[in-house]
Amino acid sequence: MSSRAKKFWFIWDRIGILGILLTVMMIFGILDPRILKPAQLLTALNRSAVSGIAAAGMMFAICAGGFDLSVGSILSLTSCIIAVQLTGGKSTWYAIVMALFVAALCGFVNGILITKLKIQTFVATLATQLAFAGVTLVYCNKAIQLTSKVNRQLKFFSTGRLFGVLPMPIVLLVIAYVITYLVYTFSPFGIKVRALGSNETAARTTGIKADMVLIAIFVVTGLTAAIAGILNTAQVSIGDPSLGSGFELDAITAVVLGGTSLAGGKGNVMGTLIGAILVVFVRMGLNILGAGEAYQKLAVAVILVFALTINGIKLIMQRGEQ
Amino acid sequence: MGNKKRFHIEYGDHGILYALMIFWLFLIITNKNFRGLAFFQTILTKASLNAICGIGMTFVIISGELDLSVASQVALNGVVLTLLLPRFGVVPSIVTVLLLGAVMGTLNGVIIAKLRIPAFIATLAMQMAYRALAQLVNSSPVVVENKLFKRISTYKICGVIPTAFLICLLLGIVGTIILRKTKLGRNILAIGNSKPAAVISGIHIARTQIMIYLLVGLFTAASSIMYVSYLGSSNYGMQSGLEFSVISAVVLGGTALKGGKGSIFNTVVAAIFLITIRSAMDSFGVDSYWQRVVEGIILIIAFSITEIRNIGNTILVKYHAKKQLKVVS
Repeated sequence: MSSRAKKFWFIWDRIGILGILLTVMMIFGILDPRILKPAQLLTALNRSAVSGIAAAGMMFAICAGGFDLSVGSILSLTSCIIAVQLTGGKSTWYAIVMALFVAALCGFVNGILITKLKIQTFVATLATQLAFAGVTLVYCNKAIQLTSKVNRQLKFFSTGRLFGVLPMPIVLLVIAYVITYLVYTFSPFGIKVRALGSNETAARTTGIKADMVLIAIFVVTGLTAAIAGILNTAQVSIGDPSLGSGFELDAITAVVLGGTSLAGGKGNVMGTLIGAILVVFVRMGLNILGAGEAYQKLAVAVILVFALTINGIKLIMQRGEQ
Repeated sequence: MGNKKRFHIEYGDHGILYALMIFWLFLIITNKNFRGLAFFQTILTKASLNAICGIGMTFVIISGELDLSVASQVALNGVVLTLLLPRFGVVPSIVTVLLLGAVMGTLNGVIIAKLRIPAFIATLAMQMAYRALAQLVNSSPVVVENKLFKRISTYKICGVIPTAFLICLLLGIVGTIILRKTKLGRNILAIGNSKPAAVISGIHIARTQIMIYLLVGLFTAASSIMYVSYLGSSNYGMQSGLEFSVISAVVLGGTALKGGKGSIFNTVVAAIFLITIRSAMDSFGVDSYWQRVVEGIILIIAFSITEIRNIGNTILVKYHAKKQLKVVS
């Protein structure tokens, strides 16, 4: 790679995705100025908390060279657990702890399948996606509307304001990303994940317990999906077994857009956050312009292919250098 | 001996066939519902629809990749087919749908081969895109009125053999010939065995990959024609989750996920096996939601079958070693 190309990718890695976000915002702003109102932007940020938090977990999985396709099903399962427990008269905290526990268990199952039965990550999580969706339906086979009385405490997570000013979802999003950044950059876990992603054999030879790290990664994706599920349930006040269908694509799109390499070993925390915001913004913008659910899905798919293409070009150029 | 060996190379292991026979025998003995021609006709018809799609999927999995977009392809094909049928008649609509399938397959292939995107994530994106397109084409369910078209999947030759099964067998033979007797088939097997080796030996990877996804598109189109004919209706949400049962059939049929080997005959048998399991669960009164869990578990077992075998072998070897140690001491 020429030094010029190197410089381009260096800059692209840092501000490329931000540039795309601003361009998209400008285009939507020209089409309909209402979209750029502060209140609307705040809504976009609020909504991106759901896929943003799940994307943070997904980033670890992709960075280790894997995938987690089961996050959508885990999100639905969490949503159903919360709804069933709350309508059953249990306290909000009990429901949340229960949901987190089950999600961690799901992640653990994924991890065991991948490390002990040696199934490739995306294939294993594809199968568990089906299995978890089945478990969700066995547990609760129709959408449960949460009454405002039951939902009062939970609602705090979606519409509440910390200290009366800061919207809760944004607070949670920021906390999640600060933690992710610190863990990814400084903690032994983050370093091990990157090592595993760049060269698994080398990582194993240096004494990293690869199996433990992989299981931990999938527990983390499960937990983040659960947090996203709790937030989403609070937002829509409904426990729905199909709430998370197709959700994994939003999370993966955010991560890949953010510049995390599919080849593994290279993550981008801030990029992931901006990627998540971009996906939500495009969906919201299309919605305001009057395009339905189908157009939004199409748009996300096109964005994903676009992001993957850029990722591929970058890989090819970097490999050409060696 | 030579003859027998050649037979094995051509058609692979027969484990799944024996398993199916034993399972059928078990069902016939234990449950009254399974005695009678009608039961087997239903199973063969339903299984054929899955199996036709599975023939295409076998090619992809042999090349070491996965196509997750087949279910959405079926939906888009189906929606377009029901729109065309009343206006243009049976044959032109079928031809158009086959063309549409070819176009979708080629698009997948080009994205994977030319943009160098890993197949499963590219097809994951296309899964969403095709489903959305189907919804855009027609968001309400359509019922097929054409009697001739409905008979494609439901007619029984001499009242015994379902046409669907016959078509499935024909397409299976075509698939086997493509896989075993043509250059394309050998190239696919070579890519699945070792991509670097295939590149060195001068195989045009990108062109072969595009051909693979084109084949998937065609077989999936055939399968979607059969589905619409069997169900007598179409809607944009149809057959969601089909990719799971198709992939399970292929993998249960012994096609390795790593690629390089596989057999279309076994895919068809495994598809029949899976549908039998589903009907058995139905008739034993298993809740349909539990059935999904069971299907997920079957998929996991199918995916990990090689590793389970390895673990079993290690245990056996250790056991024998211990025995011999005892004898020595």
